[in-house]
Amino acid sequence: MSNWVPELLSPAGNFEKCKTAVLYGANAVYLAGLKFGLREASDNFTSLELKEAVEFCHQRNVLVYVVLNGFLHDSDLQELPSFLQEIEVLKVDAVIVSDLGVIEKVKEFTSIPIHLSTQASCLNAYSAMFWKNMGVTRVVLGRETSIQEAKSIKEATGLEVEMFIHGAMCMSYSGHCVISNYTQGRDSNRGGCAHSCRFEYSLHADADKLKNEAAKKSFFMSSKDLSGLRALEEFIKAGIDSLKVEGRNKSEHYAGTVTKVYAEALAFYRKHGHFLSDALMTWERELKKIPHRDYTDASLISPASDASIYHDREHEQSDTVVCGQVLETNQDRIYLSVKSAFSPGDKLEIIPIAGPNFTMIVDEIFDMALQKVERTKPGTLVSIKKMSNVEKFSLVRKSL
Amino acid sequence: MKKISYVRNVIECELLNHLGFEELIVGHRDFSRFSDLDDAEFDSIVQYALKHNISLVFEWDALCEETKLRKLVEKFKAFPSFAFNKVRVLDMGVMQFIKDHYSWLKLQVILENGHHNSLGPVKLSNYLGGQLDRLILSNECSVEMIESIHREIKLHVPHEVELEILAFGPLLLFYSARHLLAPQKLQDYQSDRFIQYYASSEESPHTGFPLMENQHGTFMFNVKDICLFKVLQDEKLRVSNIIQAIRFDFRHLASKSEKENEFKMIAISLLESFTRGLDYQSADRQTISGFFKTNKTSSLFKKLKNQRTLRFDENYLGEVVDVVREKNITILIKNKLNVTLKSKLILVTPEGKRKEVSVTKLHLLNQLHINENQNELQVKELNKDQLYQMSYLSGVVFKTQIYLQN
Repeated sequence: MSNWVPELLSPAGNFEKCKTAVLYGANAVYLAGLKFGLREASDNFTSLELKEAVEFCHQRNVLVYVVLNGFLHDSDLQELPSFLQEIEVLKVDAVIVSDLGVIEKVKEFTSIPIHLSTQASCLNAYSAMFWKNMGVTRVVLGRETSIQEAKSIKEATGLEVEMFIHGAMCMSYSGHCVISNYTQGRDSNRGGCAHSCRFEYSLHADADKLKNEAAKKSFFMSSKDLSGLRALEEFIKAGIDSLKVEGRNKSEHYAGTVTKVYAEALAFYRKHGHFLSDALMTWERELKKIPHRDYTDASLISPASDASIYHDREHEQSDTVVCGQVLETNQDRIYLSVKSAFSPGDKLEIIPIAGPNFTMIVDEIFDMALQKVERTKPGTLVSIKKMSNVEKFSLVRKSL
Repeated sequence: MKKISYVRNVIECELLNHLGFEELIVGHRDFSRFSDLDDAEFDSIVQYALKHNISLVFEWDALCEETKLRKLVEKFKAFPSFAFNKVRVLDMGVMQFIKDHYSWLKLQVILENGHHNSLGPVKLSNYLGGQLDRLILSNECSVEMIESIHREIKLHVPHEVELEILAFGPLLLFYSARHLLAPQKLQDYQSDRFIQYYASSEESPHTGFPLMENQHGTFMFNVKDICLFKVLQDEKLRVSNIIQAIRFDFRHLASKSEKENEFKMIAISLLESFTRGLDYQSADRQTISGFFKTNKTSSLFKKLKNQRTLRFDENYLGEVVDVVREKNITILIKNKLNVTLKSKLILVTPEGKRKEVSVTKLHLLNQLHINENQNELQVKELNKDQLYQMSYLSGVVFKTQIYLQN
């Protein structure tokens, strides 16, 4: 018997991350062209890369959603139609939009399905109905919405409902923060968010005392990261159509690990109809191995409490560091693109595309001129002895 | 242009009406983000406005999750139908609820976030039809954007739609549903319903961002208020036909418990400044004109991105993933192209250096141990995602992008 599970939607900040997410088990990816999205700092996709990415994904039955969720100005809208026609030819599966003007353009120039971005802060069934009337087929709900509320919204509107299950969170209602705009001249709603919520602030009831010792120092606006692993069964029972992983700006390590964990968990449920497994502990341990800021279930079950605030400087905790990604293999060796240094004798953990992770002690390391290497350097390619069947694009890391 | 402001008690209602404010906004603590009026206070204002024929607009600008909305809908239904005939809304769900169930109530829709183009407001205006009274535009809208919105509405909407801007008041920067101040265990914390603090960021030269927390969440405001009196005067001819309502928000300058005279003095002083086209001077608060003249919020950020590490044209071949000085360069092929011996390659480093080179040696990395001496390349379509090696070229570094010359 096969049980229904939601779509797993992973971030694809660039083509490499896209491949990683797809190979590690995403059912769909979201990505952006060079404009119109909210992650200007991400590499994003040129036209050629978009074409290749769509081919790559569709060959593997993975859907591609193109993000157009900036609050666009008139000048941006003038440039939009040519891009829309370009992605319609590529047969992308949906666009993710937050602005009513953009929705109008999408409808005018294409027949691509429209998903409403979380940036529009759709929080209730009436709001979802409004957006349905505007032509959207799916709503990505605001992260303040609980799973039970999402269920009600889906039942009331008949719309597909998507919720975030993992990743960093805006502390504000999405789309309702313009700190960067006024303090740094960067439009947070057109891809320029400066992450002002992650800064340390001095707090005092008297503005004149902010600089003295009486002021409390606090990271009061910084949110912990969302993890909905323990709420997976709730999502499934509520019939949430798509589970989204945040993080187009994050690394291949993040995209691969998070995707693999949730894909394995959903596959387990599909087969068994429950999550009663020791594997749950393994999945949780895996999620702690990637950089993160402490996890919270935020508002998935009940409104986010004090415990959802990350009272610490912006640094992402991790038990491991990614050493590299396998770019090539042959009978004897694997070729690693090095991201963090390692040496002979180090214990590396391989994250295979499928199946459990395994470790290996590094023997000799060679550079691309076949010279022995005592310690690798990031930004180089090295070869190490092949210990088991390792596929291309597998990630390799070590414990700290 | 109509002058609009907020009222928190009967005294303010009487005064602002007397001073010529054509429309007064009243909130209720359950519905409005910044109002602390309870049922009795709210009711007293409504009764006074009715008695004196004052145009009162009900503010429902809190964003509402499904559970919250259901509760508020029940409470809203209990309000007497004669209390007001206009509602200001921020949440599109609240807007849809009013449209579906209260077709006789006029809607004023707050577009404070986004809607910086004319197409969206036109669509919204046509969707709401005659029920739409006014659009409250974002503080980030420049006068050019407002002109464009006005022009397109005139062209494409068959009924009148007023446009409103904030002429004076605090600039809301951040709106969170979470309660962020109460958990800080601040020394002077008092368990008021409204907690007010100031914050200074380690990363910003600005100090003293006002903060507020109440039952709707936490809010941060800019250190400076917006004041458009001077630019509205300078642009008088330009704006007189396109903006129908201007809003004055000075609740933060005089709390409602302060003496009537203080509130009155600020109101009169603000109006005088507005009439004379001078920005309002306050000992406590500086002002800015925001983005009204021009919005350049995306110009800085574009410069931060290294365009040279992106791939752009059909002749893109791949990326350098390794360089061994004086020996070889390894490239990851990212595009299917025919490369022949003597094909010309263009290499663009992340620093922008450009090098051109003819292919003299190129072989699959997998053959490194097998065919090390291979030095010829026949006409060949290179395979995507495979690693090839070529001869060392000085100046070429990791992440150099490679293109095939036509």
